Order: sequence, then structure tokens, then C-alpha cells
Amino acid sequence: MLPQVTPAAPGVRTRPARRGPQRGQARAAALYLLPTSVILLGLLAYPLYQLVVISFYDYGQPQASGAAPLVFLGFDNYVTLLGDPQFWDVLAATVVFAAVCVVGSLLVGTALAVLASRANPLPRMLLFLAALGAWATPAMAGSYVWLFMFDQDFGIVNEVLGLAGHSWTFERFSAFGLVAAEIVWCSFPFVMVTMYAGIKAIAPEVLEAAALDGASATRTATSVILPILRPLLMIATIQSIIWDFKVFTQIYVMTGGGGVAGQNLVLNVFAYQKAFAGEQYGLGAAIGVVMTVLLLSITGLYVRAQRRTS
Amino acid sequence: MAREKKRWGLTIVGTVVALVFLFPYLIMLVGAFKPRREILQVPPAYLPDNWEPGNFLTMWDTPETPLPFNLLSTVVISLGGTALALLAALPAAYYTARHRFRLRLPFLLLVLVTQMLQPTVLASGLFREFVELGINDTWLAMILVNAAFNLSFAVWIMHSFFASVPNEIEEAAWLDGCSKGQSLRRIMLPLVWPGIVTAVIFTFIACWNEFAASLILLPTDVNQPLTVALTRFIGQYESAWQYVFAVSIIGILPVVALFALIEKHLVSGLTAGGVK
Repeated sequence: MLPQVTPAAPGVRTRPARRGPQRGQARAAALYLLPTSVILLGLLAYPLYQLVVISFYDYGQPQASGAAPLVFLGFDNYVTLLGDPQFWDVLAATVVFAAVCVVGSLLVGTALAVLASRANPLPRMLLFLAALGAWATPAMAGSYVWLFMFDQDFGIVNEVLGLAGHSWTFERFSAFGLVAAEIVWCSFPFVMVTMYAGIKAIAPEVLEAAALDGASATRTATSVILPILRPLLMIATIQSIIWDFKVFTQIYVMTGGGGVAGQNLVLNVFAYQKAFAGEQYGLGAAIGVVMTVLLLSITGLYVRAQRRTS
Repeated sequence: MAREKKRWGLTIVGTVVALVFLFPYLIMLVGAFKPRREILQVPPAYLPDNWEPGNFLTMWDTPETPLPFNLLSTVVISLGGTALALLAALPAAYYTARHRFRLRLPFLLLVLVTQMLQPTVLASGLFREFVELGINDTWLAMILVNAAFNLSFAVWIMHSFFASVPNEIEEAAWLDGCSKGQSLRRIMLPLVWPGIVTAVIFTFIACWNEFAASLILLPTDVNQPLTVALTRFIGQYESAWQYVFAVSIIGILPVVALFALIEKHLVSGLTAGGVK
């Protein structure tokens, strides 16, 4: 799993600019920001530039090894991609799949946070243990355990349910559902811990006041607690969207690289299959560019949400 | 009375839910101790007839993958990636939190945006770059990749910690004759320690669990980390599930240990802070 990233808003309390020679300050800034800038430019910006360049060429294995000359295609890769019904199918599947995972993680994470905030120490400890486990488990290992539990022949789930021989990954929706369940299982800790911290931070006086005013439990939850938690919920939602839109490992492992006849492909795995398995680096790069643009639009929302909450 | 009943209800529900969520770990643990014969048994047995702790020894020497090297790869890449990300992020986080300058916000936003980029998408570009630099298929390349993809988080989390320390403290240090470097080292670092620890842990875990970039950029088996090595135990005809689980446990333990270790430091770091 990628790091649980919800950076706080940039600090507002910043030292006012010192009245000094502009040049000296610029030099200091450059010095402090240099290492980060070099790494980001060298390892993210330059490859991104390369990606855009490659997406305009017919770039396959012969070109990569230098055995054939590069042929400039212009927007042909993009035209091919946008004219490919499979691309639209994969895009739609990605959006729906991500939406299901996001809603699932939010519901489960929030429910467990509420549960943990009210339960006795023992179940609370067990719930946090589950969260810690999910946090610490590589996506890889989690996917394999789930695959094993739901195995057609020797899986424990089929044994318990009496479904010997039933394949959970053969049918499209069942396969997507299984992967979504695994993703919710491993990504709820972020939502749970965030919401738990939020619930614990609510001042008891606020709840007492609501109780004094005669608010019912439901009314307190919807009119008092929810509005207070909204900013946290917002960040958890957008962060989940970003992760679940980029899912790679779980689909790659659990559906064997995209499922029967590619029925379980999501964009990230699709790009990988085209570029690296199909050795069509140009077309794969075009998919990468399209994906990056989509994710950048989501980031735009993220930044706006952050600035509103800060 | 009703309250008491509700509390018991919550306790039972909480326990059951937690156990359901913990169940896959039990499967992992039990599976790691099953002999090869039993793990593929139909119908499956809940517990092994013969416990086989030997899996944890034999897994190091299999035809599928050179596991000792894979563990070494994971350790080297994670430590290297974390160290590099921290060293680069620390000055940037400090400077952007303590100084206003024209490109401050654009810089921070650009750093944030890099979170959207991902190894699978950038792999073609990275591959070409590493070939040009002559470091293709090396640990160094993966250290750089891991540092780059985790830099954004490290900068932002430490930035917010630096920003939360009142300016007066640092100004007092300057008045007392501290240089900028000294005030950073002696005053700021101890105060933002919890933020640094948080950044280190999350970066380390992300590096430790990284899969996609290594899958694409490290074709040589001795260079691959544990996550990629795992895939080698699952074949089309032969699968060594017992090794998958044993290796998974080896992979999870250090992270859990790290969390346990750090939790105390986090708490003490928070309470030791001189400012409230």
C-alpha cells in the first residue's frame, strides 16, 4: 500500500520576509530546495517528459533496442487509443471499481472508528490490531492470502460455504467484487484512524450541549458530529479516490494480470499490459499520459478541498 | 441497565468484526506452517496435521528465487530510499515552513502534484533514463525511484510540523547567537522530531512494500525485492503457497515491530515538546 498521505495544509504562520538583500535570500532558498528539486526533476519530471515524447512515436521493442528507426506518429497513438472500445470499457470499469472501493473503505473505516470509540478496551485493541496489520501488510501479501482463501478447490471460504469448485475469479463482477473486498480490507485503516482521531477530538461540552437541548442520538450524529467531521471525511474521500483510481497490485495479482480475456483490467494494469507485456511502449505511454491528466484533475479537487479546510 | 446492555452489544460486535478482519492473518500464519502436501489438500484442513516450521528454513534455498538476496534487496532499497527522501525533504520542509518567498506556494503545490505520478505510468521514461545513466537494473536506480515517489509526502508532513513551531522560539535562539544551521539542528529538530519520525516510518513502509516499479525495472532475480520474489512462488502448474505465507510473515514483522517501537517514541516526542 502506498503511504497514507494526508499532509496538513501549509502553515499559515510563516515568518514574514526578512528585509535583506534579495540575492542572498534567493541563494538560500535555492540551496534548501535544491535536493528535493533535483530528485523530483530528474526522476519524475524528466521521465514524464520522456513519456509524452514516446507517446508520439511508434515505439516498440525494435525501437527500444535500436534495431529499427523511430517513426513519428503525431497523435496517432491517441487516436488509436480513443478509438479502441476496450479503452472506454476499461475506463468505465476503473471509475466504477474505484467508486465502489472508495465508498466501501469510507463506510467500513467510519463504522469501525465509531465502534472503536465506543467499545471496551479489548475490542478496541483488536480493531486497532486489525488496522495495524492491514497497514503493515504489503498489497502483494494481502492479495495472495485472499486469493488463497477464495481458491476454487482448496480455499477455506468454499469449504465453509459448501461451494466446492466454485470460482470467484472467473466471472467478471465476482472477480471485481473479490478484489474490491480485499482493497477495503487493506485500506480501511487510514479512514478509521483519521475518523477516530476526529471523533475523539470532539469536545464533550458540544455533545452535552446537544443532549441538554434535547437532541436525539440520530440528530446529534447528523447535525453535530457529522458537520464537525466533514473536513476530515473530505480528505479521506479524496485520498481514497486517488489510491483506488491507481490500483495496480491487487488487480495484477488477484486476477492474473487483468482477468479472463482482460475483463478485470483497470487503467493502470491496462497501461502496463499494453506497454510492457505487449511491448507497445508508444501506446502504453499514451495511456499513461491520459491517466496522469485524469489524476491531475482529481488533484486539483484535492488542493481546493485542502485550501477550503485550512 | 439498557446502557450496560448496549455496551456489551458493542463489545461483542467489535470483537467479532475485528476477528473477521484479522482472520486472513490467521490463514497466513497457519498456511506458513503447513507442509507442501497439506496446503493443496482438497477439501482444505483448518489446521495442519503435521506442523512444518521447517518452511521458514527451506524457503531460503529454493529453485524459484534467491530469497536471501531478495531480502537484502528489500533492506538496502528501503533504507537507501528512506535516507535519501529524508535528507532531501528536511531542508525543503524547513525552508518552506519558515520563509516566505515568491515561489513558495508553487513549489509546495508542484511537490504535492507529484503524488499523482506513479511508477507504472513513468516506467518507460525511467527505464530509458536509467539505461542512459548506466544504472539500469540496479539497487541504486530503485533507491532513487523510491525516494522520488515518497518525497512529496515527506516534505508535506514535515512542513506542517515545522510550521507549527512558533517563530519566537527560533528567534530567541538567534538572539542568543545561534547561527541558522545551529538553530535548525539544536532547536528545531528536537521540536519537530515526531514529524520526522512519522515521515521516516511512512516512507520506509512504502519502500518496503513497493511492488510495481520493481516488477518493471528490476529484471534480474538477485536484485528483486521480496514483493517481486513472492510472485515467483506462484506458478501456472506449481504453487508453493507455504513459502508465499512464510515470506509474507517475514515481510510484515519488521513493519509491525517498527510501529510498536515508534509508537512510544511518537508519544514521548509529542509530550517532550517544549511548546504547547
